[in-house]
Amino acid sequence: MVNAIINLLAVFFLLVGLFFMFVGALGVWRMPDLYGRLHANTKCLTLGLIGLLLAAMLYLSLLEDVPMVSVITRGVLVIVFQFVAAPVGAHLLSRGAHLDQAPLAKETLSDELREDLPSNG
Amino acid sequence: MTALLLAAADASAVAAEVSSRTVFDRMTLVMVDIGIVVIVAGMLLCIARLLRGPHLSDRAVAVDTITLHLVGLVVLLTMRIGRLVFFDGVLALSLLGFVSSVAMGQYIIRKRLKELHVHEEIPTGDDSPLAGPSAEKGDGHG
Repeated sequence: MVNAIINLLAVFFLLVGLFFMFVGALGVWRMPDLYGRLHANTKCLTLGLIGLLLAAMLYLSLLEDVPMVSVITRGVLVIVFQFVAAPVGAHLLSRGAHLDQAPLAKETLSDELREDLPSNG
Repeated sequence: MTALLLAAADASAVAAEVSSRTVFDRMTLVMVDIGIVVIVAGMLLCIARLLRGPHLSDRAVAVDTITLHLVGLVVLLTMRIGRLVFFDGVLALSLLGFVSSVAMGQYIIRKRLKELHVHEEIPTGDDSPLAGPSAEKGDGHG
């Protein structure tokens, strides 16, 4: 009974995580702009990793010989690190691309950073 | 390396015969297999963006996405073999992805550092020793 519930929860989180991982990759392929691809990269993949790690923690708790403290510690550490590091990496990449004048999508209405900063070309 | 793979294969056989007893465990393992296929499909989409991306930062984003998909793949592998042999790889790979995107950002920006006026003197007050040669003109060689 407990086995069934935990397995069903694990499958649920696995499906949610897989959905977001695939949508993230689809967004990286289909977005018209670098900045849209950065959106898909950071937000979707963070949620996808949360889903997958929760599914792993739930499923591995059912097996024997698995130290759950180790699994939960590593999983939570990866999620916290991903929450902290993904925005930093995205900020650095988008700042570098904006300075290097990466091509914007033709649907772009305004680029306020270019108007504000005097150091841009 | 080969010993590690053989140990993982042996553990996979043990975990398969132990955890396949419940039908729900088998359902989860089938879902994990489907998940591995879905993540590899996502990696193929990112490789397509890696080949096409018009700018260098598009390729940096694609590599970061591939690295995070690799993290998901290692998590699914850990669920599949039932042992924690590869689970430290998730932390190492996420660190690697973050550091690689930071390094690519610094590399992209390197031509424009002069426009950013990064290499000028640090602006400080008048009585600081770091203020530059103009502040010490009267005192230096008097």
